[in-house]
Amino acid sequence: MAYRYLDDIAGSDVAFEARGATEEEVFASAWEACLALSVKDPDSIELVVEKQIRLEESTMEILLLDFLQEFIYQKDAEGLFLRVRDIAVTSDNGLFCVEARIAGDYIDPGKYELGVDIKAVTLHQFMLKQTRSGYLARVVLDI
Amino acid sequence: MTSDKMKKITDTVWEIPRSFKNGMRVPARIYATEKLLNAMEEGVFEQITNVATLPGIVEFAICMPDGHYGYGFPIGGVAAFDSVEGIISPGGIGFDINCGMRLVNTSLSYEEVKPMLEKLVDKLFYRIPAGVGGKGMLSLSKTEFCTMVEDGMNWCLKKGYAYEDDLRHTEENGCMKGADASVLSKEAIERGLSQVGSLGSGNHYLEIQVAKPENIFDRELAEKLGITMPNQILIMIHTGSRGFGHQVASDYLKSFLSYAQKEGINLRDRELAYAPFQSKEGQRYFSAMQCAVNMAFVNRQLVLHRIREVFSEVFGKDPSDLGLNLIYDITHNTAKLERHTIDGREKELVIHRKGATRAFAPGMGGIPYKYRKTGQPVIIGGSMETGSYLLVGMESGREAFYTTAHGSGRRIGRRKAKKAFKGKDILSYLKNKGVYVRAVSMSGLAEEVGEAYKNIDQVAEATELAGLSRRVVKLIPIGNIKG
Repeated sequence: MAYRYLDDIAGSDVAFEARGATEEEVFASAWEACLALSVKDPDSIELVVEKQIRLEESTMEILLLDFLQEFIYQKDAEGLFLRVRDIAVTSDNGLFCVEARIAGDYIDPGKYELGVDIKAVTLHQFMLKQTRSGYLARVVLDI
Repeated sequence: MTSDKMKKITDTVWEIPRSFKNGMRVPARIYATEKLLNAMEEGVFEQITNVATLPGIVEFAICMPDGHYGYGFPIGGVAAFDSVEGIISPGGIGFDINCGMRLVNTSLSYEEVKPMLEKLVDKLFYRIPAGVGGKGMLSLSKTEFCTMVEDGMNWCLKKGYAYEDDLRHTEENGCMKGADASVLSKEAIERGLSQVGSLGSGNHYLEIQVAKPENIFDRELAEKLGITMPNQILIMIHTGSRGFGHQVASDYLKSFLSYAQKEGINLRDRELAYAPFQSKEGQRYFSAMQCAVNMAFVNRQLVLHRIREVFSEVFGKDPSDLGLNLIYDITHNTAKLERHTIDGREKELVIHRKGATRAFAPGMGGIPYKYRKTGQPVIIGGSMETGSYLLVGMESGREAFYTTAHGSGRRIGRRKAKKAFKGKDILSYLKNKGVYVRAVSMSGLAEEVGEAYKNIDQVAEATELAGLSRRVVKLIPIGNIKG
């Protein structure tokens, strides 16, 4: 997964850049960047729960925002840390859609070393753009 | 910002004129000492002058002494909008709607608590949910949750989680009456359901503090607020509406972006997305925001309920015999309808305070009868190392719509703090200093190290010099729980 945290954008919170050769890769990298903030070792998460999600939006950028909000929703409402297993991003007639199979485990401080609690994906300097090598996203999270 | 772009009004008030930026409808005013002003990031001035361009803004776009770079508004931003012609913006309130402070009195002295301190903090740590994924104390149905967010602390009173005095000593008596759960999204309700009665994480905390005689600024005022004996123990709670408030803010930010697109509004910053206050969209957000305000009041009340249980168990006495009474509960992330005098005429305004605390002066309505002569209590939280302040509102705060600071504000970013400090080292360092800390996350603790924050003493002093609030007592931490 290709992401790096940015030190000088959000003093009170956390910012990162995610990259991907495709839309699917940049979406999955951004999700993983959120997960790696929430739990110290994302690779240790056991895959005991699996879900399918589908989200639609009128722009690709806001679709990414919704996708990362879904990470937060699953953490807060369902008590789950989930990883992206399969993902497809499509567009049709001006409507952008992400479908993903996500799997993981219930949040258990006895089992996983926890990190920070992400509360919202902000629109502060939020960006998703196509580059020569693929896609680049910049995200600032409210902690 | 260079001094030629900013006019000095007094030693603690600085004005950026309308000519600074196209579209500014009012000047911006920064309340700060020169030292605090010079320490503010350039982004603060950019953001507060963006706020000055919003429709319906009245008098000034204002920034408090603890102002720092935020999303849309700076943290510490205050703006009053005409309730008929003005707007409402989630970016002027913050994601954590009704993030706020609660200060609880005790009749215990430091000498009585010291031998029990570790037991108290350990028990509080185990009994009050905190940190990532920390489930709240209650398990509610969706219907009950919706009733709760509409009724606020009245719901706590009915359920036996609050005394009547708790409601009297909470801003808005713990319930904003326009809350309407029908405007909430399914996601907001579901995020809130599992978090009612939890501390959260980040900069949220529960702290046991001591009012040392040498830290009392005004003995008479301190006594009127209930601090009557040397080394009195107090308990401070800093938390908000948890994921619920964040989801409300996220939902309506998106909705207001669509509104801007539909209406052809060109936003300077997407975090400043707004709707006219009187529009259907504006009113729906105002109702949803009030639900989140109420949820946060309930959240802090449930934490207090648990504190009463724990203190009662540890000391073997009824909470009332331990003087566990609420001094005040105040929010620092809201929009509220208030009446203020503008150009000699009383006007109804939508006052946005983001990382800023209402600080009503002596004699004003809307504050408990007990505090009519002292002015409204104000609680400014500092780091777990440096201490916090209890202050009161002053008449000279009128020009700032009776508002003051809310905290010390960060100096070092989270990631830099985490790289420079280790949670375990902080625990032992603080223990040596007499502060016993329990934290869910060691990396989270490192991010909250005292050095990461600005000097709270300078902020509290600046509010007094600027006539926004008067210091009553500085409270020193001896025990702290963090998520």
